[in-house]
Amino acid sequence: MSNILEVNAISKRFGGLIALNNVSLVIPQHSIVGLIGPNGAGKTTLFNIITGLYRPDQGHMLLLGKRLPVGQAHEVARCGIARTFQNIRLFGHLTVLENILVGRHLRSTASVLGAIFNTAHTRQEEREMRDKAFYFLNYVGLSHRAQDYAKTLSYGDQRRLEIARALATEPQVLALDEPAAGMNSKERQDLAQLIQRIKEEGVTVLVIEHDVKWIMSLCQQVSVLHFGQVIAEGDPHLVQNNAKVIEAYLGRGQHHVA
Amino acid sequence: MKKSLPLIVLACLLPWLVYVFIGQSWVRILDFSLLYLMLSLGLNVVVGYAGLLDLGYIAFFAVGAYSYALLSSPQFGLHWPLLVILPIGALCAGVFGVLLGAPTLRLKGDYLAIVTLGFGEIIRIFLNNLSTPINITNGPQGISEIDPLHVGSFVFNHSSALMGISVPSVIHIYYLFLLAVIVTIVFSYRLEKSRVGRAWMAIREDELAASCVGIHTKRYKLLAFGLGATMGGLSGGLFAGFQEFVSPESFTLMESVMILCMVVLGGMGHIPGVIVGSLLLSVLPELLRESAGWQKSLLGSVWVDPANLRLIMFALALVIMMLLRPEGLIPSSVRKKELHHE
Repeated sequence: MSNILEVNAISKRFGGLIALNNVSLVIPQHSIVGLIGPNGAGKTTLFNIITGLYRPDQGHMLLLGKRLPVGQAHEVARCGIARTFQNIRLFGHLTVLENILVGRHLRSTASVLGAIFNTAHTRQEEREMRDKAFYFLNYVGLSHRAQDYAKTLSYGDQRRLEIARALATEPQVLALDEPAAGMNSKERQDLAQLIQRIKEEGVTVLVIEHDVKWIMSLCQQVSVLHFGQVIAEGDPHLVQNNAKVIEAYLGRGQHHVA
Repeated sequence: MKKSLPLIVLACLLPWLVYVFIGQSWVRILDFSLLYLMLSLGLNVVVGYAGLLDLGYIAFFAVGAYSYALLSSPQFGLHWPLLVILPIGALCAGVFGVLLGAPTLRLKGDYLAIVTLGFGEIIRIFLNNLSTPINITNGPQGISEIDPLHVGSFVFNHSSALMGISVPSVIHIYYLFLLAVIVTIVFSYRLEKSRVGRAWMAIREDELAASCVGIHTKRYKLLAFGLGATMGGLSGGLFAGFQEFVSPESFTLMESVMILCMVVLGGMGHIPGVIVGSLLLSVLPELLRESAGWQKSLLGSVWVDPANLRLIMFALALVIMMLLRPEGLIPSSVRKKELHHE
């Protein structure tokens, strides 16, 4: 299996705080990769660097062997990486359908002139976009709410809408930042199924999560970040029993120094 | 489109009704309110759709007006045809819009408002002072004897006779402006429902999330500034040709604020709201002007100077609006929900 995304020796500091220190990750194609670690370990910072919201101080990333642009979120999206946010960031005062249509931005071409003269091409594209948008809404089971404002959706539905919006860009890599946060166990299960389905469509999924048990059952590979460094990676069960990981999560046992 | 047909018919009959029953001066007021409507629609692109607070919008109106004035007046001895100058004026204003937009891309909210406010003032001060060393704008005296609005030999600013009925100039102008307004409304509406409009609204809602779905936020913000300014420039050109005179004092900060009020009063980002807001705010002050006469007949003397009364009523209206209907008179259903159910 080839690697879709390679993160090479990324470092990022905020003033005196070293958020990421020489972090490298390899994400195999068509897999679900988990990124775990205690609070403040640098998971979201790494996500923000991969998706172009932050510029790394050092290091670079390769998507299918090609250098990924840094610090330009819209360029990263164009290259095929879509994301969701830890604290849901929908376009609250647009309808559910419009949120998806915004997600289709990269897959459509209508310009200002095309819009104001309402050309045949624009109308055709608009129709196709709507059909496609409903496909994604159906995919996450939200098509019955298409005309409601995104703000009025329940928490779980908002999470799913955000995923659908990211999927609408037709990404190669989908990065989910704590998608299961605040969900009950039934919702978590549904979400896991949804992620599984997305993977089967050929999208590589990268997930940040706190719930270790949930992520262990979902992912083929897990990386553990602690204080800005990768302390373990690989098979979920091996990682789970890794001494460093246990220490990071539970703290060091008492050692009596003689 | 079907629903708006009666409205269009009404809009076409209105000047005649006003002319016959009230008088010519009120048709002139209608002409001006159509200009204000165009300006509000332009500002609505910037403030309503893209969510960029612009307090110097009148500057683009000024650029359009002066472009027209310089290209068709004795100032430089140029007398280009209307259909050439209007697009040039609009384009110039658009360029200025992008020029203002480019350095302010990183700014948001209050900070952006301050910079745009400064920009508006800079343009006005330039117009006031560009009479030396080379006389371009003729300074505070302004430019007079501007060619009237005309196409071929037909002059909108002169009355004409049609089948024995004399048509006053203000009604010609009204129809010309109405045409421009309808075109602007159609374009605005199409933009709102298009990929471009959605990209603007996404930026307004959440710029970060917008960039993460691949929207080039800088480009789209510049586009909003440029297009909004273009609309302002177009109405500026029409204004110059209508007045046959421009001077810097028409382009004060108060005017920018006024147009912003029109957009906010009616309901930001919602075209029917913007239409109602701008018509109300451009006609109401004129009504209050008449209040001197009423005061005299009711109270025996003029208690409050109508000019002051105007401002008092204005302030009062805005304060009451913000308290009772912060979403605007005719809001889009979104904003209504947002402001009343949380």
